[in-house]
Amino acid sequence: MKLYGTRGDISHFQCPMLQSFIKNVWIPLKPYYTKVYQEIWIGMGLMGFIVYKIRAADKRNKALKASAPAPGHH
Amino acid sequence: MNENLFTPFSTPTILNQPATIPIILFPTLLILTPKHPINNRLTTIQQNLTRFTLKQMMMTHNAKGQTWSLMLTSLITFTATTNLLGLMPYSFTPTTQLSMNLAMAIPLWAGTVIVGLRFKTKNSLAHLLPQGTPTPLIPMLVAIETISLLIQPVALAVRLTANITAGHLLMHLIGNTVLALSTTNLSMALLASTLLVLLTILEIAVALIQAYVFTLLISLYLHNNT
Repeated sequence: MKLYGTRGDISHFQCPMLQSFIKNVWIPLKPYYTKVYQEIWIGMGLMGFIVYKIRAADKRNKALKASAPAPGHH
Repeated sequence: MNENLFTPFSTPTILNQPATIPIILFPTLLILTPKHPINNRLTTIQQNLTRFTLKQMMMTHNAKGQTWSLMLTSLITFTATTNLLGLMPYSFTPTTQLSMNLAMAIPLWAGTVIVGLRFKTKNSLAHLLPQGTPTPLIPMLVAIETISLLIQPVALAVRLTANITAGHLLMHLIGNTVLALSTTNLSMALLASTLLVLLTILEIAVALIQAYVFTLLISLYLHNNT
């Protein structure tokens, strides 16, 4: 990654991979991500919420099992 | 046989690191991205297939629905290639994991529902009551239709998971049967191996069909809501 441009008057750093990503992915897909898929982002939020709930319940369950081990497991 | 029947479905590891993300991303390497107007044969074949599925799928939608064509085409391509790659021995199929299928189904289904509620509120709420129901039955039917709506993402995910997992499991079992019978009873082994060949052909069909069904249902939900 080039940290400084080869020209003397550029004082910020370039990141060719990020620039290439922006040019090839973000700019062509911007109308999709910002307008068309708005509802899908909301759906992904819902899915994240469900994932969080399942993980929390699993953690609670495992903590319960670890703190009070039932006798006679085989 | 593996230690138990379900080891092919456990998280694949490379040097003890989970390798699911490279495996999920692997089919993208097989889809060629054309840069020229006229490409080589393989790219043209893939391009024609993509165009064919795109046209078939998005023909019935209006302009608003067709904004989802990129999403649906990539969905069917991903599911079909993933399922087909999973038919190779010793491979891992991400679509056998319920977590992944739920992660695909919930956002897309919720997207179609929210699109309907946002742009055609009255129309999409009216879908909750079938036409021509007698008045006393209305409350019960609204409840039933709501439940059937809420169960759609779960049904989508579980359908895909169960079909692919069951197919893989059956192939393992019958393969082991053939192997075990080959030393004792050769004719039964031949019979079972015919079964295995037929099953493999079925699995190829199932892999493609399941991808199609998944995408088609989402497209249907979209159509109802745009």
